[in-house]
Amino acid sequence: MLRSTTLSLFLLLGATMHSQNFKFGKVSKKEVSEEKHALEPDADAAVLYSYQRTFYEYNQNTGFRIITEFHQRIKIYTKDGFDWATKEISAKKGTIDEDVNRIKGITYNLVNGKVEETKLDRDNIFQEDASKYRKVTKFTMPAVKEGSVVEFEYQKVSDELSASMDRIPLQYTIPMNKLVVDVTIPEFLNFGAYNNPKAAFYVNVKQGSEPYNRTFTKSIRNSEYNGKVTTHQTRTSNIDYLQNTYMVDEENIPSMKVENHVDHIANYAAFLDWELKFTKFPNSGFQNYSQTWEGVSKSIYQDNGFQSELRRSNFYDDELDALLGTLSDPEEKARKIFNFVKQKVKWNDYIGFVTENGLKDAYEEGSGNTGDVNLLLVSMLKYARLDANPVLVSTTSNGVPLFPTKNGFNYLVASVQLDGKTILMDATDSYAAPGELPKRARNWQGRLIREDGTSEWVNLLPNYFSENSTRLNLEITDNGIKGKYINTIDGLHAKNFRMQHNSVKNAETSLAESLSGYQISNVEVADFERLGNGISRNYQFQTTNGREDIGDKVYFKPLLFNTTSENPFKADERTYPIYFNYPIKEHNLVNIMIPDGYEVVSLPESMIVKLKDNSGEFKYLVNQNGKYLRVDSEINISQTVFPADEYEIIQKFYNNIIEKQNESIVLKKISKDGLEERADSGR
Amino acid sequence: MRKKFFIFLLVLGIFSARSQQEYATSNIAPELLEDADAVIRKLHERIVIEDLDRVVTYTTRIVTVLNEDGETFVDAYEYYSDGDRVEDQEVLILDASGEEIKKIKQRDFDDRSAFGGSTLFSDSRVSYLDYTARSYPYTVIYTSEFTSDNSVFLNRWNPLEGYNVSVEQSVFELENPENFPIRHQESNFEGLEIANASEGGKFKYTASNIASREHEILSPSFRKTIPQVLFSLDVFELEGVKGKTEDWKQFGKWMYDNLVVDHDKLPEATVNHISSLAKNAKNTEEKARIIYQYVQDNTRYISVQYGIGGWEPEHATAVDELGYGDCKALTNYTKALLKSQGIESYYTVVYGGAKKDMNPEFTMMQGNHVILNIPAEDSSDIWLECTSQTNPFNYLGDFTDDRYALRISENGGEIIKTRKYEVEDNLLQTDCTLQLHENGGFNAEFTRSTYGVPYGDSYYLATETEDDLKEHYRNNWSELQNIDFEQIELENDREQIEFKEHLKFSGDRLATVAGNRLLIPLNFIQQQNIGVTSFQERTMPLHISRGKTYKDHFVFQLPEDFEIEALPESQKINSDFGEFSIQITASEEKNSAIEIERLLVINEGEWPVERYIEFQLFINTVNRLNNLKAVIVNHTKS
Repeated sequence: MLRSTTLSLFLLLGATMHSQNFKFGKVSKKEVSEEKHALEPDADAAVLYSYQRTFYEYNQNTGFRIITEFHQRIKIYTKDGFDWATKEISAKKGTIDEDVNRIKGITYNLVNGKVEETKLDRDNIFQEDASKYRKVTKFTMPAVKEGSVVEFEYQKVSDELSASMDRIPLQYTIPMNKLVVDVTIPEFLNFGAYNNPKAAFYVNVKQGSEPYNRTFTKSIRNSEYNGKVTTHQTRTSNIDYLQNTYMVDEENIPSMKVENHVDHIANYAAFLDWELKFTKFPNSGFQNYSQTWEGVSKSIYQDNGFQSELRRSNFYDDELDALLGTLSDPEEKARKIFNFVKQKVKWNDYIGFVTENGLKDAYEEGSGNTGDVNLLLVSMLKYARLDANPVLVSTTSNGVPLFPTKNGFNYLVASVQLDGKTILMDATDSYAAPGELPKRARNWQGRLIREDGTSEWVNLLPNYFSENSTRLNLEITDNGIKGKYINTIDGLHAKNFRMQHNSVKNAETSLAESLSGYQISNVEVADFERLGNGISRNYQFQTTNGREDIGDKVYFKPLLFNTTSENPFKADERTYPIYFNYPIKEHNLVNIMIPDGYEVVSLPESMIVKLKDNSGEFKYLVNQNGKYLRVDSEINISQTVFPADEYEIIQKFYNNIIEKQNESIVLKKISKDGLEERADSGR
Repeated sequence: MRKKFFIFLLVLGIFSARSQQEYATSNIAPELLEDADAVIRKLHERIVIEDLDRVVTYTTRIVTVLNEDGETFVDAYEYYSDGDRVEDQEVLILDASGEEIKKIKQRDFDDRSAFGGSTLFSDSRVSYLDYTARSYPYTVIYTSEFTSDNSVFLNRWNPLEGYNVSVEQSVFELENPENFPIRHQESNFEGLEIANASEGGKFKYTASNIASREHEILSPSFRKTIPQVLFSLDVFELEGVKGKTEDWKQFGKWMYDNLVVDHDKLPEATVNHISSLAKNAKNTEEKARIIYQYVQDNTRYISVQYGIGGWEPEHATAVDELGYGDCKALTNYTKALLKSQGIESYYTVVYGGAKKDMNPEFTMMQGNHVILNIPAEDSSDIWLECTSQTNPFNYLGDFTDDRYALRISENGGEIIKTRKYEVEDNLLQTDCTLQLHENGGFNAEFTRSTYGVPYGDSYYLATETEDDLKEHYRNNWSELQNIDFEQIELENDREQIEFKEHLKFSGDRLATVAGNRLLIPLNFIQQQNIGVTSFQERTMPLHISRGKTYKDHFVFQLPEDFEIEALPESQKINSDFGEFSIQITASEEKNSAIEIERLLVINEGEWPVERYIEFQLFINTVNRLNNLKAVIVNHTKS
C-alpha cells in the first residue's frame, strides 16, 4: 500500500516536470504563483531550470571558438533569496580574452492575477576589471519581490583553444529542479569528464558522438590586365569531423547543506571537472596531455620549465656554499637551507605551482609566489646533494584533484628524503619548521613528482600528535585558589601559537590577560623563537573565583580554566565527514594540596573512554594520597577525518569529556574534634 | 656642458647619500617606537586649490614599517573616479639602514574597484602598491601627484592616523592662490607639539613627535580624540555642479535644489495604487506605515554609484520600475510616495554605523547614508530606514540612532538629532521555569522579550529555518550541554517593536553533581558578560555608548527527594555605572523550588579615566554575583 502511494506520487512529480516549458520567456503562471518549494519548503530560492550548452565553432579564417550558452530560471521565495537575482559573470582578460555577450533577462511577477514581465535594461549591466587577468560582468534583475521568477541568459565566447573547459557546477545552496548540460567537443580534443567523488550527489553523464559537417564557400576575385577585367570565382571546401557529446539531464537536485567543522564546504558540492587528455589535429601529430601521472610529471618538468629551473644554480651557489661550509649532516643541511630560503624570499600572497617570473628573479627580488619560493627550496636542496623533489598540492579552496592532471593543482611544497622518511617543507610559511605545513596546504594528499617521470602520492595531513600538556599545582587558600601553570605545546599547536602572537612580548601580554577573574603573574614564554620546537608557557595565578563556598563545603573543578565546557559538535545530525585539523593530545595533570582543616567529601570517579581502532581516547584518573590529590586527564585523537556516520559516537565522546571534567571535588571544613577524629582513624 | 652634467650628478649623489642615512631605523627616537607597529617618519601633503574644478594634491609619505601589523600604514594608494587623475605615483623601498633596495614606478601599481561585495557597480577605483616585504623594519617613500575636479572635499589633516602608529613629523599645507573664501576648524591640539605657520591665503601645520596610542576597551571613538583640522570652501564644485557651503542652512538648500528637487515624480498607476491602499487609513502615521510597508515589499537595496550618482538620488520613477536602489534612491522614493498622499517628509543625511555625528559646528560635505524624517508636531518625529526590507516602521536601531544628522528641504539644511534609545528602552526580559533532574539535567520553559536596540539584533531569527535556530541557540548557550528542543516559537511583533522567543527545551548537566548533592548555578541564561581588562595605565575615559536593561525571573523546581541545603543571600548594588540586584527565595515548602529575580542595568555615559577602576570593580562584582550557586541535597541518601 505504502509502496504504491510513493510510486504514484513519483509519477505525478515526473509528469508536472515534463509539462513545463523551459524556453526562454515561457514562464508559467504556476511557477510565478508558487509559494514554497515542493521538496524543500525552507528554501529561500530555487533554480527552476539551468541550462548550459558548450560547443566549438569553426571559422575558416580564425579557427575554433568555444561558445558557452547559459540560461537559468530562478524562483525567489523570500527576501533572503534576493541575492539570487544578482549575477556576476567572471571572464578572463589579458592574454586570453573572453567575451560575455547577448545578455537578456526578464523578471516575472504576479500582479492582480496576471504574470507581468519586466525586462533587464542594457544600461543596468555593468562591466569592471577585477584584476589584471579577470573582468566581471554584473547585473541585478529589476522588480524583484518575494515570489518573483527571474530568468536570464547570456553567452561566453573564448578564442583560446587551450586546455580550458571550466568546471561545471551541478549543485547550489538552493535546490535545483532541472539541470541540462550539453557539451559538444570536436574529436581533435579529447576530454574526460569527472564527477566529484566527495559529493553526496552524482550526475549521470551520457556520452556519445555525432558527425559535424559544413561546407564553406569562398568568393575569390581575380584582377587581370591591370585591373581592367575582374572575374569572380567561387570555391567551396568541406570540413567534416566527429564530435564527442556529453549530456547531463537531471531533476530534483537537493541543496547543499552548510555545516560546521568541515574542511571546505565546496569540496562536497557536486560538479563536473574536465581534463584534456590529448589532442590530435588533422595536420599535426598526437599530443598527449596528462593521461598518466608519468605524462603529468614529464609535462611539468619540460613544458613548465621545472627541469631548467631546478638545474640552474649560478645565481645562488656562492651564497649557499658560504652558508653550508663543510656541513655534512643532511638534516642540518636541509634545515639551514629551509631557513635561508624563508629569510631570502618572502611569499607575495599569490599561489601557484609554476614560477611567476623565474627563480632567479624571485631570488633577486626577494619575493615570489608559492611556486617560486618552494621550487627554489627544492633547487637548493638538490644543489646540496639531497634527495629533494617538488610536491604538487591543491589548496583546500581548490578542491581535490580527481585524476592525473596538472590543472587540478594550484600549489607546491618541497619534499626531502631524510633517513628514509619524506619530510615536507613550505618556506612560504614563516612560522613553519621542516615537516610542518600551513593549513592551506594540508589538503588530503599531494603528488610528489620526480624528474625521471615517476611520481607518488604523499599524505599532507600530519601523522604526528600536536601536544598541549599542562601541569597545574593548586593550593586551596583561605578565600580562593592559587597555583602554578606549567605548560608546553608542540607541533602545529606551537606553530599556530607563534602565528597568532608573532612575538614573545605579545604572547606574554595575551597570556597575562587571557583569564578573566584571575590575577596572573610571572608569565614566562620560552622557546618562542625556536621554530619547530615546543613552546613552554608558565605563570602563577590567583583567584577568588574558581571555587564555590557553600555552607561548610568547598566545591571546585580540578582543571579550573582548562576545563572543557563546550561540545564542538552540537547539531543533531551530520552530512559531511568530521574533520580535525591534525592529531591532537591534550594532557592536564593537576596536583592539589588539601589545606589543613579540610577533608575530602567526594571525588569524581576515574574513567577511560576509547574510540574504535584507537582513533581516540579519553582518560581521567583521580588519586588521593593523604593530603595530596592528583587528577590526570588526557585526550588523544589520532585520526584526522571521521566518516559522517561516526558523528554520534564523536559527539558522545566529547560529552563524556565534558561531563567528567566538570565534576567538582568537594572538600569540607572540619571542626577541631573532626581533625582529631581523622587523625585517629588514620592510625 | 659636460662639466655641468657631472656637477649635477655629484650633487644628486650627495643628496641621496644623506637621505639614506636620514631614514635609518636607528634614527627613530625610542619613545616613538613604544607600542608602535609603524612610524610616520615624514608626511608632507600639499594641496593647491588652482580652481574650483581643479585641486592638486602633492604627497610625500615616508613610513617605517616595524612589523607585519604596521603594513596598514604604508598607504601608498590613491582613490580616483572618472574625472580625477592620478598624475604620478612612485615608491622607493629602503632597508633598515636606509639603503635603497627597490624602486617601483606607477605602471607597477595595481588597480582595482574601490568597493567590495555590497556595491554592484561604482566608478571609484584605487591604484595601490602591492609590495611583499623581505624583512622588517623597512621604509617606504611614496610620492604622488593627484588632481581632482571636485573641490567639495578638501582633505582634512589627521596627523595621527590610527592606533599603534607614531609620528616623527607631519606637515600639511593648503594653498588657495585664487583666494576663494575658506573656513577651517582645529581640534584636540592640546599637549601636542603642533606649529601653525599659516599666513595669507596659505595654511601650514606641522606636528612633531606624536607617540603612538593603544586601543583601550570602552573608550571614546578614536576620531573624537585625535588632533585634526577640517577645511571647507564656501564655494565649491562637485562633478561640474557649483555650490555654496557657508552654513548648514545654505548647504542644505544647495543639496535640495541641485540633487533632490524634482526627483519625486511617480507613474500615475503607482500613485493610484498607493491611494487605494491608504484610503482607509485614519491618520498620517497610519498612512505612512502603509507606504513604508509597500516600499519594503516592493524594493530592495542595491548600490550603484558613479558620477554625480554618488550624491544624487535616482529618480523615483526609475526606482518604481527597477524595484531597487541605494539609500538615496530608496529614501527619495519613499518620500515621493508619502508626498503623493499629502505627507511631508525630509531627506536626511547621516553617518550609518557606530555612533558618529555630522559636525554641527562645521559645514562641509559629510555623511555616508540617507534616512527619512517625518516631523510630527505633537509627538516625536517618525524615522524611516528605507534600505531595510525587514525593519519595523519607525525603527532605526543602532545603525543611525542618537546622532546629529542633516535634514534638508526647500528651506535649506538643519542639523537635528535622530531618535535615542534610553537605558530602559533597551530591554531584555526573561521568564523561565526549570524542572531539575537528579542527574543535573533540566527541562525549561523559557520566554524572552527583546526591545529597543537589542530587538534589532534578534528579530531576524523569526525567518530562520528550524535547523539554523537550533544551531543559533546551541552556539549562544554554549555553556548548556546537549540541548534538545521540544518547541521553538518566535513572535516578531513589528507594530509594538517587540520580539518574543517561546522555547521548551531540555539539557544535561546544568547542575554539577557532587556526591548526592547538586550545585545549581542561579544564573541560567547568561546575561551579557562584560569583559573588563585590567590596565597598567589606562589613559582614556570610560565610554559606554548605549545603556541596557536585563530583567530575569527564574524558577528552579527541585527533583523529587531533594531539599535545599544552602542558599546564597540576596544582593543589591548601585553605582553610577548601573545597578544589579538578585533576590533569592526558597518556595514556601522548603523542598520544592528556588525563585530568582534578577536585574542588571548598565548606564550610558562617559566617565573620567580615574573612575575606570571603580567601573571594573562594579562589573567584577556583577560577574561574581552572576556565579552564585545553591546546593540541594538528596535527603533519602544522606
